[in-house]
Amino acid sequence: MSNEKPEARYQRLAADYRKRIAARLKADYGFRPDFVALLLIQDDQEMLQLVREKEPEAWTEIAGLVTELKERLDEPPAYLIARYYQARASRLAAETICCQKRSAVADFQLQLSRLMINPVTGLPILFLILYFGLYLFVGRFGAGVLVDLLEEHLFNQRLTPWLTGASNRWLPWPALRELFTGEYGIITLGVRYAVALILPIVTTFFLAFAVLEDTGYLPRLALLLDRFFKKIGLTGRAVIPLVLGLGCDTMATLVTRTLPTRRERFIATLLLALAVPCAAQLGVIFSLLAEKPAGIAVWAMIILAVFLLAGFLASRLVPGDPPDFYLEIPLLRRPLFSNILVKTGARIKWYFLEIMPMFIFASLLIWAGRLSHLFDLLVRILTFPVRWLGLPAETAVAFLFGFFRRDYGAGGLYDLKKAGLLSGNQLLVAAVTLTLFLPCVAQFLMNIKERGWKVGVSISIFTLFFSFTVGFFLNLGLNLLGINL
Amino acid sequence: MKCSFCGLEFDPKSAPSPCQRCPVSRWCGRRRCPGCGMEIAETGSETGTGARRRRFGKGWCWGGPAASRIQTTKPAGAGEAVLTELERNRPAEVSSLRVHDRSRLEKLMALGILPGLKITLLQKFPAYIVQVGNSQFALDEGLAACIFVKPLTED
Repeated sequence: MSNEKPEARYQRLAADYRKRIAARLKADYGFRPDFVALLLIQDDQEMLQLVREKEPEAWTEIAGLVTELKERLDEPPAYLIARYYQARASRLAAETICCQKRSAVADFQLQLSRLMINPVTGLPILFLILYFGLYLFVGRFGAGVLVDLLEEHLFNQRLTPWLTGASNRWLPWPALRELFTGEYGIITLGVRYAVALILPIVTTFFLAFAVLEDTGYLPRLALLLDRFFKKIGLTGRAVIPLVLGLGCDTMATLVTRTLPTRRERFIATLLLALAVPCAAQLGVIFSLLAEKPAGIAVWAMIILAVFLLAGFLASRLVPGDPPDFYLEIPLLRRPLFSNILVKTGARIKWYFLEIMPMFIFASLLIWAGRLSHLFDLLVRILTFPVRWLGLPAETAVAFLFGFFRRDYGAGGLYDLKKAGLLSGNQLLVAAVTLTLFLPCVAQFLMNIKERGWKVGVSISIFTLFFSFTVGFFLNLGLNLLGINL
Repeated sequence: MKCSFCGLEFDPKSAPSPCQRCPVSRWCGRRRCPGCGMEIAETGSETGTGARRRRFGKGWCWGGPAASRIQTTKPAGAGEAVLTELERNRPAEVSSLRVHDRSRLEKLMALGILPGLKITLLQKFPAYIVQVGNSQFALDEGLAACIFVKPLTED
């Protein structure tokens, strides 16, 4: 091979320098000194730090040797070492592997994989998966049938009346009763919301997600959408948290941990907070605008435009290098049922441990707010911005509760709509504002937990002002153009 | 050139460019001192959108082809082509990786894309998909443009 030469030169030089560096290492590292030296010449940051601490006298000399070796080689040592290993492995493989036969199944998998990653056939396949996996299984079965079963039949008809009765009997103080079984109590809101509303949705979602994951579809989806995500400062990898956000934004914010850089994690968190409505919210907003298909279209267009605009601006303004996209495309596999069950079970457990305390905390916060009449004050303050949007003052309550549970806020609007207090334009303005409005309290806490309190609080303040600004201009635009929905 | 702040002498071509982190879309003619990070105007440098594109345009690795301290191999030799210009399904051999920043080299190394390996380009849009050994990888244009190949004649 023509590239044998630098390899040989590297071996001679590296062996020499490794010996010289190893001779200067005095402390105990738990490895042989020449292995420590090998890590040092590869620029292993952890080892460099450790040696600097443990060898204060010899450090300058050691660092000098490492730099000297790097200067004498044309290419970084880590790269040369990787090439050396690769060449050895190839030689070994060539000696031991004689022939490879491809089976009919493998051929079929290859064909299917081609169809999935070709944009012409890949996008229709994506829509089929979204329709069957997400809409029918998670949306209709999980969020529809199962939620109905658990919330209506288990909680509202059996558990809640029984617990309310018990607390009325055993808890003498009304404030304490309110805390556990009141309208926003720990059991009636926190536990019920986590178990009856979120649990079925996330269980079905995690099941569908595990199937997609185990077949190897997700990397193919990521590469299909990479170009689009580059425009908003993310890469194809971000598809996973953002799709998850359509189920539950709080959980999706947790999943942004899978993104490789801080910049990507920040942009994804911001987009989730601002422009990705969660499943519960989507349901109520669709029922709110049900009789006005034009309203739904305008709503969807505005949310999409905000998503793109915010992403585009963030990609321009957030400091950091534009991300690289690289991903191994694994073979397509038929998922193992047992694996999927184990994986889904583990995730639900993890989810519960992460999210349950937050829901309970949210209940506590609402309880304290109502008890101290802080809520009444906040509602009165919120009345002003709500009037600027051309909405009746009653909607202020819906907006405040929208912060604790976004779908609850939208639910409040639903009651106002039934009472005939809102016109078509007002419904649209309120729906848009509430979608962009502050994330629910669980997501707010998650933002702080994942991004630190500075970033978490600034994202919330930003979404607050941004949502009202968009609502204000939407109302103004509708009035100026004389549109009545 | 010499940094007006800390006095360090440096080669403007090899100084890391702050462009990619900056929202200004035109080449502003400034260089960042590798010693202290101060941005200084380069005298006689071409400015404007066209200049920036020529320096940091599509298809080039971060920092352009000329600027590099960790550039891994010599300039393109005879019969060498950048991966993005290779025909689809034509077998080739990786001849060199031309990478400016260390993290990109590490990414390619982690995928096991190294000189001497057989590589086949399977698809160019929406992402570059290559077959190396028994594995397939998806790469974006920036990373694919770092890989230089020698097309192999089919036998």
